[in-house]
Amino acid sequence: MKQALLFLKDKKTYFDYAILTFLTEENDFLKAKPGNFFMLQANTLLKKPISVMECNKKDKMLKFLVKKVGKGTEFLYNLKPGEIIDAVGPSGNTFPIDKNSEYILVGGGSGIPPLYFLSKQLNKEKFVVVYGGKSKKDIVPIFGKSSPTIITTESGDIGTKGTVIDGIKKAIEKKRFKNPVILSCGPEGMVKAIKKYFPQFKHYTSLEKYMACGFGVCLGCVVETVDGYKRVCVDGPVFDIEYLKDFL
Amino acid sequence: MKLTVDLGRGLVLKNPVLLASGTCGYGLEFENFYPLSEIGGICTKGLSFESIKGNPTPRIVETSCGMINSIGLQNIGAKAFVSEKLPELREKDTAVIVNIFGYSLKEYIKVVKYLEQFEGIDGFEVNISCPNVKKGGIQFGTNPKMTASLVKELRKRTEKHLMVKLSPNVTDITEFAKVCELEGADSISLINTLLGMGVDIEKRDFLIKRKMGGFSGPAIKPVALRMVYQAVKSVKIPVIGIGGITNYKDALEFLLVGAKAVQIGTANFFNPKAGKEVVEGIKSFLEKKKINDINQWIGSIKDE
Ligand SMILES: Cc1cc2nc3c(=O)[nH]c(=O)nc-3n(C[C@H](O)[C@H](O)[C@H](O)COP(=O)(O)OP(=O)(O)OC[C@H]3O[C@@H](n4cnc5c(N)ncnc54)[C@H](O)[C@@H]3O)c2cc1C
Ligand SMILES: Cc1cc2nc3c(=O)[nH]c(=O)nc-3n(C[C@H](O)[C@H](O)[C@H](O)COP(=O)(O)O)c2cc1C
Ligand code: FES
Repeated sequence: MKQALLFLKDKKTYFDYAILTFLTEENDFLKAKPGNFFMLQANTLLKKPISVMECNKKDKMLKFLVKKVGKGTEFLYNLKPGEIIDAVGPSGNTFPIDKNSEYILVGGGSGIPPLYFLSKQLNKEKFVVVYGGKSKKDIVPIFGKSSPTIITTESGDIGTKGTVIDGIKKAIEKKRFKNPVILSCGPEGMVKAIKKYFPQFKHYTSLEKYMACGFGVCLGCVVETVDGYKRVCVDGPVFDIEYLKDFL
Repeated sequence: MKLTVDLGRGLVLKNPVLLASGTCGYGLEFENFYPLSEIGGICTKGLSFESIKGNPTPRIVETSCGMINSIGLQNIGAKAFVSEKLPELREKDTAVIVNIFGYSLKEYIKVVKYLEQFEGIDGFEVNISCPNVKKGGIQFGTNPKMTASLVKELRKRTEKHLMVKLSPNVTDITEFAKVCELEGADSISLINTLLGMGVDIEKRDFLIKRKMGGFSGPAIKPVALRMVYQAVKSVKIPVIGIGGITNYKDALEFLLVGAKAVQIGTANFFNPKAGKEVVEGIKSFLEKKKINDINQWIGSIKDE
C-alpha cells in the first residue's frame, strides 16, 4: 500500500457511470488484485473507496468504474483527461479462487468492477457473470461478446426481464453447473436475496461500507462477524457470507 | 536546526509532531507511507485493560470540513498490545505514547499498573474525554473533582511521563488544566473531539447509529487553537495542541500560541503522509525565517 498520484488519461461516460483510465508511476499501485480498491481524492475531506476494474503493469494503467451518487463520486465523474488526483492503495483482500471450481459472478450497479476484473483472470468454461440493474442505464457495456454474461433488468429493456435471481437460475441451467460458488458485489438487498434463494451454494460477497481511512486505522468501516467486528477495508472487503452476522 | 522539544520527565521528542490517538492505529500501518522515525512519536489507539468491542455501525460520517465518529474505543486490550504490537513498535526510532482509557477509576489504575512495567512505552496519555462511551471517559474530563482524583491516583502509580488529554466539552478549560498540573500531570493534550451530531433529511434518521459522536477535522481548528492558548496561559506544564491540523502552517499556529508539540488526527485519514509533510514543512519554514531552534518559535506570539 502506498500514497501516490494518478494521472487521468482517458474518460468514457455512460449515463451516471464513468470509466476512468489512469496512469501511474507507483509500482505498488500496479500490484492490484480483483477485490482491491483505492481511496481516491475527491472534493470531499475524506477520500472515496473505489474498486479496481482493470490493472495493467505493462502500460502502468489502472481503470475504475464510478457511479455518481453524491458529492465525491460526482467530482470523480467530472474529472477531465490530464487532471491528477492523489490516491492511497491498493487496499483489501481478494476473492478466493481455485482452478477446479465453477463460479457465478453476480453484480449490480457500482458492484460490477471487481467482478469484471476477476472475470478476466478466470477460464471461460468455469464461470458466468450475472449483471443486474433497473434498466439499460445501469448496464455499462464493458463485457465483450466473448465473455459469458447474463444481463437482467427489472424494466426488461435490455437482457432478461427480472432480477439477478432469475439470472442465476438461468446461469445454472445454461452452464449445467453442479455446485457453483457465488461471488457477489452489490446492494445489501440483492446479496440477501441471493443468499435466501441459493443457501446451498458457497457464497463470498464483497462489502461496501462508509470508510474514513481505507487502510485499517480508523475502525469506522467495521462489519459484525461471528468473530466480532472486522474491518471491511483490510480484513475484507471480500467475506464468506456464513461469517457475516447481517446475513445469518 | 534544532527541532527537539522536552515535554518533561524524560520524554524528549526529536520533533514536535505526534500522530493523534485513534487516527494511527498502533502506528505500524504508517510505515507504508514513511518511516516512523521521521516524526516525534505516536499516540496509540486508546487501550483499556480488557479488549472493547466498540459501537454499532454506522460509526463515521463526513460533515462540512470535518467528520463525526462513534468508534466507541474498540481496542485489542493492553495485554494483546504488549504481545502483538509493542515488540515491533519499540524497535522504531520514535516515541511511543500509549493512550489509555477505563470505564472506572479502578480500570484506569489497572491498565496503567499493568503497562508501567514495560520498556518501550515512553509515556501515557490519559483519555478523560471520549464522548463515545456511556460511562467513564468523559465524566472524568467534565467534572474537575473526578479529574483531580484520577490524575492523583495515576501519578502515584507511574514513573513514566503522564499526559492528560482534555475534553473541549467544558465551559472553562483552564479549570481542568490547573487541576491536572496541581495533581502531578507532566503535560496536557487538547482538544479531544467536540460532541457533534448529523441527520439525514431524506431518511429522517440520524447519520450515525449512536446519534451523537466526536466531531473532528479542519472545522474544529479555531476552537482548538483558542482552548490551547487558554490552557497555555493558565499552567506551566507543557501543552500539546490537537484539533484540525492538516499541514505545517496549522501546526506552526499551535506552536506559536505556546503548544510545545502538536498531534495530527483526522488528516492522517485523507493524507497518510501528513505527519512527515508537517515535519518537513516546519523545518523549511524555520530555515526561511532563520530560526535555528523550534523552542524560539514556541510561544513567540506578540501578546501583551
Ligand atoms: C470497498 C469499496 C469499493 C467500492 N467500489 C466502488 C466502485 O468501484 N465504483 C463506485 O462507483 N463506487 C464504489 N464504492 C462506493 C463509493 O465509495 C460510494 O458511492 C462513495 O463513497 C459515495 O461518496 P459520495 O461523496 O459520492 O456520496 P455521499 O454524498 O457520501 O453519499 C451518497 C449516498 O451513497 C451512500 N454511501 C456513501 N459512501 C458509501 C460507501 N462507502 N459505501 C456504500 N454506500 C455509500 C450514502 O449513504 C448516500 O446514500 C465502493 C465502496 C467501497 C467501500
Ligand atoms: C476515528 C477517531 C478515533 C479516535 N479515537 C480516539 C481514542 O481512542 N482516544 C483518544 O484520546 N482520542 C481519540 N480521537 C480523538 C483524536 O485523537 C483527536 O483528539 C481529535 O480527532 C481532534 O484532532 P483532529 O481534528 O486532528 O482529528 C479519535 C478521533 C477520531 C477521528
Ligand atoms: S476505513 Fe478506516 S479502518 Fe477501515
